[in-house]
Amino acid sequence: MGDDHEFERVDDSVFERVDDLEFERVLEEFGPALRRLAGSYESNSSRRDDLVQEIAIALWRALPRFRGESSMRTFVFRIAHNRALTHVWRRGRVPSAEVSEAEHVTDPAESPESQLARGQRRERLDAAIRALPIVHRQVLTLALEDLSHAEIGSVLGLRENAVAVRLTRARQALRAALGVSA
Amino acid sequence: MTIKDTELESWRSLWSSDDGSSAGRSDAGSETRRAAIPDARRIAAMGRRRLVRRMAVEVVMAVVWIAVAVLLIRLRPDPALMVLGAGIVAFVAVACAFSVWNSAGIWQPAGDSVRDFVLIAVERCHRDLRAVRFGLWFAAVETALLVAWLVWTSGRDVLPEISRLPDGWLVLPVAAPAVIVAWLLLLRRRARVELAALEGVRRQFEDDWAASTG
Repeated sequence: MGDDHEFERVDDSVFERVDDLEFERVLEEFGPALRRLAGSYESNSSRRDDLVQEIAIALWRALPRFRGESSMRTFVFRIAHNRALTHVWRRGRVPSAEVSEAEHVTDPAESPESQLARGQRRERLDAAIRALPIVHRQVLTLALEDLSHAEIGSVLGLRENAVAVRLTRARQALRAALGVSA
Repeated sequence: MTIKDTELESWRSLWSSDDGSSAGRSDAGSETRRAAIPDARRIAAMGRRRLVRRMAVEVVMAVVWIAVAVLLIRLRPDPALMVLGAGIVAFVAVACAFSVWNSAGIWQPAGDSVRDFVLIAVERCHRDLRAVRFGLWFAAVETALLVAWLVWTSGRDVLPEISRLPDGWLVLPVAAPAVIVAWLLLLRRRARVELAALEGVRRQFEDDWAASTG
């Protein structure tokens, strides 16, 4: 009991260094993007919420380390993708190209009316992105969040030309998953 | 002149749209914030407590075994007890040295990127597996040496204090190694599953990383 109390005291002193307002501001600004990112890893809503929660915790821990050497945006996406990867491999399932082929993306031709529904198209895009191998998925979701090639390179640890190559391949794979010709 | 990338723009617009059920809800920031803060405090505190507890258990175990060794050596001037005590001290020293060596260089990744993160996670898995291999060898050598010591001292009442222990005490020295080995095998299974998943990610990245460092 005494030990636990001591640990709580140590933790509190750590928390005092964390700027609550900064954490809230970051989550306010990037919350929607983080939920979209989580949606590219998890289709199930409760598991997606769990992942958002894990990312928020990772951010809470990492924010005191932020020294402004990169933009807050690249910092947040680095933490978020790292946490999402941990989430995926702890569950022991990292989709590969082979697995992605097995995942089914609904053919919109079956229901022309529903193609017009933006929500349904959005769901289809989400499913197609989730079906991509992780390297394609990461580079594509970052591009969809409007990050530049340099910023994506900074998040993933790649050079800009490697990002461009990877993004081209990812877009081809997404087109194929969506059944769109180039 | 900038060429407009209509395909990416249309995906981007769809990706950021509010579909009412999925990831793009407009209040997602507030929702995430409200849900995250109390849990972040609680879970971060739990994680730190777990780390501190694990370190504390290792230190307490080392101290207890050293105390047992000192007690045996000081019990009476018998060479068999001195050998046993010295053996315990040597084993504790080897285990501590391995623990320090095996965890060196894996506390922090080299940078913050996904690449650094994957590389350090792969390295940590390899270290976990190395720790398991060490643990299994350690348990085997320890058991063999203990048996050798018992054979060497058989017929001599080296530790008459044992006869005062309650009946069935022998279950403990047999059960303890069995539990440790079972726990090590469970750790190995977990580490292998994690490593297989991690290697899958690393393979997907490998070409680009090679191009980025070449």
